[in-house]
Amino acid sequence: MSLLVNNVKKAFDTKVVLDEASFEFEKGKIYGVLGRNGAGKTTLFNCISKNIEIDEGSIELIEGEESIDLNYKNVGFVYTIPVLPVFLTGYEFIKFFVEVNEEYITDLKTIDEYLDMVDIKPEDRHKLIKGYSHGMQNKLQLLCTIIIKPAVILLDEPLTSFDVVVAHEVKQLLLELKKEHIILMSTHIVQLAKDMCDELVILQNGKLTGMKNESESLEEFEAQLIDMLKEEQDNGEIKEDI
Amino acid sequence: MEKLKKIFNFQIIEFITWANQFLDELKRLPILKKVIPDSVYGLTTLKYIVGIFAVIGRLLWNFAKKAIYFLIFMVVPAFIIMETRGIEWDAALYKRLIYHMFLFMNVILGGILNEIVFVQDDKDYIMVKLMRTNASYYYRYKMFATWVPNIIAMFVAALVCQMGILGAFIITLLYAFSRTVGQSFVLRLDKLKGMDNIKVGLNVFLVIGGVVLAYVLPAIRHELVLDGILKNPLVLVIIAFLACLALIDISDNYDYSYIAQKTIKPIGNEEDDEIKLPVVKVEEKQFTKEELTVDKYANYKGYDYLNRKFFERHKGLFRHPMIIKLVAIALVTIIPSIIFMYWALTGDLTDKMTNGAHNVLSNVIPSALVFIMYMMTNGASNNMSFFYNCDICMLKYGFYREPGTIVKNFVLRLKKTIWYNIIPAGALCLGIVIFALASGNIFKVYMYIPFMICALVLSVFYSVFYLFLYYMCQPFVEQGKVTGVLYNLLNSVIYIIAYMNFSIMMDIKCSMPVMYTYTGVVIAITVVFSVLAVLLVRKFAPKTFRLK
Repeated sequence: MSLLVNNVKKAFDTKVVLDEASFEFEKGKIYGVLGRNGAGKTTLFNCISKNIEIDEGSIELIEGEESIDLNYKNVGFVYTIPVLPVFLTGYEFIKFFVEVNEEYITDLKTIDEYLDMVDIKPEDRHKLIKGYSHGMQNKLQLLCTIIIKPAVILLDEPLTSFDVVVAHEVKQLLLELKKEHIILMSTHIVQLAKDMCDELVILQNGKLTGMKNESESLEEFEAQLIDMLKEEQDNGEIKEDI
Repeated sequence: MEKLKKIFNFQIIEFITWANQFLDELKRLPILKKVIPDSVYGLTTLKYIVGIFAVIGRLLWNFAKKAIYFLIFMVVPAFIIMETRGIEWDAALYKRLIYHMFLFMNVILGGILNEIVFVQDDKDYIMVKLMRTNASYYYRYKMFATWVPNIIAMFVAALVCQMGILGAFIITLLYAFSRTVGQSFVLRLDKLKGMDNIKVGLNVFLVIGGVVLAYVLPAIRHELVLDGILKNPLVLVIIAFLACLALIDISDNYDYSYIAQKTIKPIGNEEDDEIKLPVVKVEEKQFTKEELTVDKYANYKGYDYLNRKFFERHKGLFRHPMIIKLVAIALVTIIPSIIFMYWALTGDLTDKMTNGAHNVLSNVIPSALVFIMYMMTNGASNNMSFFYNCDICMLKYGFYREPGTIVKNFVLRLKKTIWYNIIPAGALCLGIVIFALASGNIFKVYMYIPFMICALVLSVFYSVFYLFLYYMCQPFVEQGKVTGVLYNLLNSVIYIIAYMNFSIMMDIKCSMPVMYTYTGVVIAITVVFSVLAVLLVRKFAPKTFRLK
């Protein structure tokens, strides 16, 4: 199974954000999507998740010979800042979420079992989401993705402002998830990209370019990355894989 | 000079900001979107011209607000009181009643409740904290910039409301007096006791006392006879002199730097946004542990469950305004009823007064129903609550944007909104019956049934209308603003229609057949619109109800 982004173009008024961007993302890998601020990473994710319509091109899920339309059932989007109804408790939100998506859930569990998966403690389950820490809210958001098990999981700058323990827990979850999913993760944290991502994709000048994660040291990797981002910005040309 | 220059520059920035906002709204119109280029924001001369229109618009709106205030809180009660006394029109009595009500509602109540210094707006932070304008200078400018246009608007409003030139001048002088003396009083009180300690208690005491004195005294024929006193030039000179003394006190005797330090909070933080928006986020401490753990809606599922939880957790936004309306309706109907019953017991209730009460029930109230029910509906603030407390995040989920889901949520919310609006309408109907009984018109109650039905239908109509606007226009954005020319336009249109209805009908004396016809037309139009609105939402809301 793979996610095929094919000559996608997206502009906002006169500003072209994605300019014939193409890439194929494969199942079983975590892709780090890197780019400078304003490069269009979130736009790309919004296009994949159908939050916004693309102007040209196509984004499809390919399973064998079959092309599957993308929708909320097969794309999960985990936002940097959690989007949760803060007037509900964690328990109530997951109850609601499971009920409205019941027909798409395989292996239905109880609400408490789901909350156990992301280590939301029993004493916190019946507290308002408003009172949850950033880490807990993110875990709850990630849980929604785990429940539905969409083919594609988009993580917009995950693990930012997580404490060490929560960051580790979430990393382990993602490494577990990647086996059966296509995971795209946008990040600015070079260390995270190096540790977790099997492959890197640079979004620059509206185009997607692959970069293998083969550097031995973090410094070498970081230097490579910076060179690539700087050169592409200066020249406006697509670079070959390094 | 430097200080003046800073304030002048800021006014220019505000001027240009209004112009930018107006151009931004125009660019959102589908027809003009492609015609108006982004470079228009660079055309300073054009923006000055547009800014002038914005200023004129604001001045006109200021005048309209004063006129409406005058009409609702003074003119209409004066007419009702004259009707209950069996008097169709008496210019002298009318002015006497207006002066009395104005004294309590505006001079005493308004002077203190409308103080400016301790009520922060965005400009305060920008001017004092960011642009480092001298606080004393700034607050004096703020008072001047607020009071002068309001004084002019009040003069025009009083003139329009049949007070004559002298009467309008007296009202305006009293208004100026109330604002200056009121502000001086509040500043003095803060210096002695601290505003934070006394504000809430003071406001509650003032509102209850002021409203009771303003309306109950004239209702029992004990209004203050002020018209003679106020026409005395010496009295007017004394009022003006006291206002000047208050101005001097305001200018010289207070440490505005200290006031600014304790009053002005930074804008743009979460706490400040919550204060600014008319919606309030829930807090854990509002609920007991049992309320959060034991789920009384556990048997409900999906969106039914979500909406029930939403209304339960936001009781303050929906139930409390309803309770306040019920209390207000009770006061407005029960107090006059008690007065009439008192007159009946003491043998003072005449046929003329009973007929006057009948006229209020069969002419005055039905004429004003469209406007009364408009004022009683919390539609616009409900929409903000739905968006900022729920839809702003839920619309990011694909399943929430499904066409069936959008329509389902609309229907669930509509049912609840109708419920919260129809109860006060029902209370109003009950109040009409009680007043009819007390005023000796019980055998005429059948005549008021069409008007009661109209009140109930209007409550449903307004519930549908606002939700229809929300789902068809979805005008809110994440930063707390309302965008969308169409949404604002339709909001203004309904307000104008309600107000014009009220204004025109109050000027006309209609026979019963005419009132029935008018009421029938209102019912027919509102029913047809309500049905149409629901059908349009079902068809188009899946496309229009989106995050911007």
